[in-house]
Amino acid sequence: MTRQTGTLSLDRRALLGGAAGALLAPGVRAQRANDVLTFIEGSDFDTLDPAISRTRSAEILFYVMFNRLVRWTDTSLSAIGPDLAESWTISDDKLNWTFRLREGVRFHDGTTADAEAVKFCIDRLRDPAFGSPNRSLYTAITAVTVVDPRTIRFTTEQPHAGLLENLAESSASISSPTAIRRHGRNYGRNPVGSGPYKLEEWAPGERTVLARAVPSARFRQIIYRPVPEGEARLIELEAGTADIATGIPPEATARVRANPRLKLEVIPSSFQVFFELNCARPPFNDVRVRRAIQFAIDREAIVQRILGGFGTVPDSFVAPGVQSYESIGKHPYDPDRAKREIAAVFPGGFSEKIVMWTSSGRYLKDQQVAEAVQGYLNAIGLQTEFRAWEWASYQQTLYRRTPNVPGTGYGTNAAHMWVLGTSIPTADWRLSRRYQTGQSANILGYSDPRVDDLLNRARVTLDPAARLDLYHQANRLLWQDNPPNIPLYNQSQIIAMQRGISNFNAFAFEIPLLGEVSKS
Amino acid sequence: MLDYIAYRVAVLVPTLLAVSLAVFLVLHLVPGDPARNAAGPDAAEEDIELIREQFGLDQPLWRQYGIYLGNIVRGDLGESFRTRRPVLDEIVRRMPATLELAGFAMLFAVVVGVALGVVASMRPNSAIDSAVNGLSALGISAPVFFLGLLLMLLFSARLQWLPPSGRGTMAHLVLPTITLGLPYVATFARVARSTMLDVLSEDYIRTARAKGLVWRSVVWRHALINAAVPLVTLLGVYFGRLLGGAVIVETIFAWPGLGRLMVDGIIQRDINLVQGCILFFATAIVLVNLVVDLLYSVLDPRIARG
Repeated sequence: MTRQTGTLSLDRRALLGGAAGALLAPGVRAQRANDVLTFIEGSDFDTLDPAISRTRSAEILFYVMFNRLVRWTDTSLSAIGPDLAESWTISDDKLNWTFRLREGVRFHDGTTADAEAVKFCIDRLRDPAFGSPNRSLYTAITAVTVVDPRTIRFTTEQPHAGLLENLAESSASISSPTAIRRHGRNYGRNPVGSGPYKLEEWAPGERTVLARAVPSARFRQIIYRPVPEGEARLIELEAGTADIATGIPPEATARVRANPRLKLEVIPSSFQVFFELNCARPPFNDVRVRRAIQFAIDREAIVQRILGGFGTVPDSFVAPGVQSYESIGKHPYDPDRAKREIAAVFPGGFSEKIVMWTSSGRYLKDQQVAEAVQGYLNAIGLQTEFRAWEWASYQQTLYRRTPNVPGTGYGTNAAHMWVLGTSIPTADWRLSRRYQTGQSANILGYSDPRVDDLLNRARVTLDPAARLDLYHQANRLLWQDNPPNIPLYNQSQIIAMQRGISNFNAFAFEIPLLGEVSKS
Repeated sequence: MLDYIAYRVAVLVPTLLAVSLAVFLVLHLVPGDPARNAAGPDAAEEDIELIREQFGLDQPLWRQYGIYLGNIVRGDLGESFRTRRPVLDEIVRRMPATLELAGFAMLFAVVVGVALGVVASMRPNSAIDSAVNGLSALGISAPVFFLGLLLMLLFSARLQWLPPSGRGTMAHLVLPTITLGLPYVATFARVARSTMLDVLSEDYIRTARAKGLVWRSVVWRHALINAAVPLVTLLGVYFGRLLGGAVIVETIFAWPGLGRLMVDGIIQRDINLVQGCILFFATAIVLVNLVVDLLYSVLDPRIARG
């Protein structure tokens, strides 16, 4: 009898549940169709104008909505190939680049993607009044000239080896000039490109729907949804309401692996997190101390215990996936050696407190890693003082100008070391701005004439192999002979997806190639 | 009556002026460089300087505030540093989502909370009463964050009845509404219970019973109307808090509302945007309280006469 009642109530519950399920299910399962790809990420974007965007999540969409003149042919950034341009030549004096455009490419509004359109977009980027945050990538270009509708010429003052890679940046995506003129300030909400997908709907903070623009595009729709909470992104996958989710927290990966309907992709990222060293004041103004300190840190333990194994120990000054990466060799963990070498510089020990700053919550486990580093420094007898910052104040303090201070062009003199990270994949951008003498982002006060010379030469060396060799030399100097920082770990991209997703690939700078994905 | 309304609306102006000055000062004095944040972490210094000039951030503070006030008078809340679009447009675009969520959560809190409170008051110290009491203690003390994820795990991941996050269908509204409204269900239940207990011990209730009215109709029609004034007060007070809670709930459930817009704006030091959002919230709270005050006189004509 009791059992009877039990069954009955259970049935009733199932029935009620079923009814509720039937009522609400359309919302839950609508996105299971094979020709719709739903992609979720943590951050929203605020504009879809490639010229002013600086959000990675928007960049993911630019890759399928726009063409650039040229593009990287593979995710290891080994070569640049045609996109809107089908071929190009360089003049003998190496100051003029002439691009031949593909015929018959049209923007989604029906206008032609011709030389005029390319000139319009690149000139817009270069215009100081427009104020693009990426303008400085294009200031080396002195003129953009339309030769004929299918031919365009770029003129530079000096030979410019980085021109192609800068034109492959998403900020150099070519928009429809007609759409830009028509929408003015609102162009960021009404972007028009010539890529395989076009914008169909954008509800900020909610969803962005791209629709197939050419018959060869694999999906009828690509839906992008920002879901800020990592846990919520995972639940979306478990509920079957999303196909791919990035930024899965390391502690949640076991749940993905245990779920037979999901799979996990761990892809190396070009993101490296490091402690920059203040090269303008003791103790790190002495290169021997900067070299010695490398041996004090057990990076393997940091990656395994703090990052849960999701990351790699750096073996070069740049992370894998960055142009010019080559493995040089990890720094061994040898605290005795570190102690010995520092004692050679400061026989009585370094008496001052070393001030360590870190961001909190900006990079994967940044504060925990910084605290671990503090422990390692204390273990070799250094005294430390620690401070964790909220990101916006941190940035402002780090980059605050301090006039008339020798060494640091500007930058903090209150800290001896501070945590930063970068994912910039191109060698010149990554190395020059931070480590060349007097450069604007060189807040370390780092200066090495050999590095300066290598970077200057690389900038004007047009032969790709010779140029790469110069970067390799610079990387080795920065890694072994004269290190400006303590590289801590290379991040991993942790991406979870439904089992039916295949052919998933991503650039190391954390840009998944949504156009290439298959779904079954 | 009209004079009263006009007076209250007029008071809105200095209130908002004070709010705008406070917000302006706080946002400008808090550390963080808006231009650098707008440009992104990898931007070159010269590009950051360009943005600083473009948004007038290189001007003295008093002049920036003057320009800002001048623009507000003309109905212009300025441009967002990040989207470079009018702040008013951004707010208007996000407002419906927040009003929808806050409205449903309030409705849920009032209807369920009052019903539970009245039922509990009808049988004080019974099992139902203790259950409602216990439930409201739980509702008040459960952190929103925890509650939201718990509901999501149960109803989306496990049972797959409801979509975990986002906005679109009525189904999307269920979990965020419950998460946002539950703590207030508890509050309303407790207040409804105690006021109802007071009212039910009044003489006129005894009279109503004595003349033979059905108990249920005495409770719901006579007593509840008289218990309504404190509940309506609560409505006004808690609307502001509810909007505050929406900030968290919108983040958990990826709800595209103003709260999330504002949080993103704060993190990025998008001063114009944050100022606009706060002015909007302040106006909404002041107006809701005005409506509440007007409701008093409808519910209890003695208030209007006094």
